[in-house]
Amino acid sequence: MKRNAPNLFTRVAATLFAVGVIAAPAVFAQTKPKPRATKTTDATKTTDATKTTDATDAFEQQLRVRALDALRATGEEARQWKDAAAAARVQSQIADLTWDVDSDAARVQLVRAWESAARVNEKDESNNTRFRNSPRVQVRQQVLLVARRRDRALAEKWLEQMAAESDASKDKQPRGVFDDRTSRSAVLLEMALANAATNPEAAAELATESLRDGVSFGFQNVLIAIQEKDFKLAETVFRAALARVKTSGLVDPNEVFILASYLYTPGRIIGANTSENRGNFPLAVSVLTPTIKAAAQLDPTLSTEFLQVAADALLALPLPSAAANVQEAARAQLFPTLMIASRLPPQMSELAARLRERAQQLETDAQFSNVPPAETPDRPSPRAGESPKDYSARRIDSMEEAASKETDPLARDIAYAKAALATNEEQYERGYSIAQNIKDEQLRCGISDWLTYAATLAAIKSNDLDRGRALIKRNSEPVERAASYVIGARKLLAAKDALRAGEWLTEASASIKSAGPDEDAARAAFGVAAAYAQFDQLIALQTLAVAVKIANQSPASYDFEDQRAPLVKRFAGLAVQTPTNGTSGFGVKAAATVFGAEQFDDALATLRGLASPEARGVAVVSLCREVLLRRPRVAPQKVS
Amino acid sequence: MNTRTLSPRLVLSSVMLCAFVQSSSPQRAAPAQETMKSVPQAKFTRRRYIEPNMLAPELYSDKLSMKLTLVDLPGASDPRSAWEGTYKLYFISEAEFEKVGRELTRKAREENGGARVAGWNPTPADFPEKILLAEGSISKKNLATPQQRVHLQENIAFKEKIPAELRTKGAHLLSAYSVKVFDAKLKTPVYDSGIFMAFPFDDQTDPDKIAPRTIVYTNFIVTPKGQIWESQLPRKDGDTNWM
Repeated sequence: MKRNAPNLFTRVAATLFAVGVIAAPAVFAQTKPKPRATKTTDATKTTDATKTTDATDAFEQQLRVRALDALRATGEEARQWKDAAAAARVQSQIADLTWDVDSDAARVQLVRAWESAARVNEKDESNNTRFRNSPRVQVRQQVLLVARRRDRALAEKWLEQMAAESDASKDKQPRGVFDDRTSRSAVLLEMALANAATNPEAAAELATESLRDGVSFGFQNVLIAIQEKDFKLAETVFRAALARVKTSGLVDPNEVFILASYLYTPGRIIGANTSENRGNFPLAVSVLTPTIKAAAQLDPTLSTEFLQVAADALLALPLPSAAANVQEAARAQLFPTLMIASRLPPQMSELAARLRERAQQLETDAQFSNVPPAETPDRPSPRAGESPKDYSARRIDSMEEAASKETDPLARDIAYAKAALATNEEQYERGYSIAQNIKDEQLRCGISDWLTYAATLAAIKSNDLDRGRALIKRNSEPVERAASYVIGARKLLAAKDALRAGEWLTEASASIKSAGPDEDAARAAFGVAAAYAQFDQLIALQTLAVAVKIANQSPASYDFEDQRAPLVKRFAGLAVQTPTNGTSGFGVKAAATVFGAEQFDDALATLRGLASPEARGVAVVSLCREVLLRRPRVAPQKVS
Repeated sequence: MNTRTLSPRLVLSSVMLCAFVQSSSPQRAAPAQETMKSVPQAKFTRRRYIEPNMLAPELYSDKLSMKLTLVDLPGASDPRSAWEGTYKLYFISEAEFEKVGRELTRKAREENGGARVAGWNPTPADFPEKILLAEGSISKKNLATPQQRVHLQENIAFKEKIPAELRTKGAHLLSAYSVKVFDAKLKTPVYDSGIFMAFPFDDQTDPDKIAPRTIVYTNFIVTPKGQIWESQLPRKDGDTNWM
């Protein structure tokens, strides 16, 4: 979770001021006659409180000094790190945390963060043709968020630099259908999203600025986030987008889908179909359903304005015959054209007719295949009136039947694996039973444990801890058992059952002991430490030391930003839904953030024992960040 | 972070069959089935005009080769890495392909109360009259060099096995494969199975001419993240670049 920028200077000043206010009466109180021991007066109460406050403030200040020292040292070390993304993130966090104390040094850190980010690989290796998330752009977003807050001129300069780079590398990598227009617009929209909840006006400004490069996919995310705070403001930003389309035309027909998505189906967006099959559409759906009402319902005039602007812009597009790829250009234009034509109200029938005429022209150039597309066994055609549950059951039956007919042993095993993985948590027993048909032992165990882990996490999530515990015992993978126990323990802690939570965490520690020391085991061990810290800081420190030891024995590098429960990969190549999505509290970063001021020195000493410089740096910054961003201690209200 | 809104990182992308636009262009053109999975289609998909039931014996080579290539894998240099698999190559006549396609879509339409059906599922089992041209298995342990990651089956009799009346331009070669690659660096077995369909002719090796197909390619690559990608596009020996 992003926090607001710390104002350390203000906090230190406030603390000093509080010390001054409290110290003066304390000196005054000492000049008074000693009160009788049998009767406590207000003056003695104040004196005792003042002494305690003095000690606490001194402690707090020393703590801050130590935290800032640790941050400076980490900043210097980060310059030597191999992991440029981790270095950039840590350097920008350090800049942010130290800015109020020493802005010159912090600015140097921020510039170094930008330089580190430039070393991050630009190319997205995921091979996802719909989203291309450049790792460099992702890291730069974080650096720019700090820059925009701390040094706006610097942020503007870097944004321009990114825009120039985007222009230079425009044709190097094909765009995904759901990509933002440019890396600059991606950064601006990410920053807008980060600000939307706390400062919707700033978010609106950033989103409007992103329109310089066209209407990006992320634009509708920001509109939704702004509308959650202020519909009128979201409307203003939307109209800015319409103005942009009106004056500059469409850069890409997908812009129509992006704007339509916000107006009519927030959280659900389709992309233009450029494939041979006319029924194929890329569809992006928000995992978290937006709670806002569709803007077209709240303000129908907005819909009318949009339809008019979109229709004019589509009709103004050059005919695909001039494009390099005529078919693709025609397909990309055809569906937005048909969509707008179908939505136009009766009073705009003339415009609708022109759009339909245009669609007919496009249809010829689009040259869709009229031969049915090949289905895969995991996608039978839905039957009329069939419920999703029935369809799912029939789909699994069909996949199992196809597997049973397969004569080749390896192909049969893979087919059974796919059928088992198509089941959901509610169909666990069915999936488990299908998996037992797999002859390849490694694959059978891998699939069975995968299904068990998913069912366990689902049971714990729904507070069915007894079922969760029973399922944990069926999982042969110790790290996944440990992670399940940790997640269950957190549920128990939330229900104020520390005793049982302790038992579950003991089981988790025992499971980790039986696992080999690898990255997954270390992540689980950090999860145990983080969970213990909620109710027993002493054991938490001990388990943190164990986690550090395991991490140091692991040769693998960490994804420090990933705080999900570990998932042991025992097979690959088969499509699966990740059961650990939505979990958190695992990994070094999660463990470093849970220790209080009293444990700061011990935790810092333990985390400094991490062998990996990047892991050590990330952990130290996370620990110091928590100390520096703590709510300042409230000064006594009554001082006599 | 606002967790209530759509974010690119929190978005599931999927392909949906949407039926709100109906076909209106009855063109007779067979689909180009040869596409590379997981890469932008526009780069590789071409349009071909296949005249129905046109005899084209000149487009049938006497012999075929089946070339399976594991282009690269993260743990290539680790001697513990291994590649095993099985494959079969069939010939499906144009008449049977059309017949089975029509029959299966009709059946599916009946099951769906007459509703328009999106497609059918071509598996080798769907084609009772298919002709088996070749089959084989792979079991390789030393995968260090590109040459060691190639499995080649040559001299597969083709033209002579196909009755003269079935040698049409629109017939298909169907290759079915199942592979398991153990990558010692990832410490994970990677599984994959599927089919590819190709025309008996080759217009991809040299886009300017249409020639009898001599090699049926099946290429795999294991990515550093443990994904496996496949393609049937022609590729040069020793090239470890996927794109």
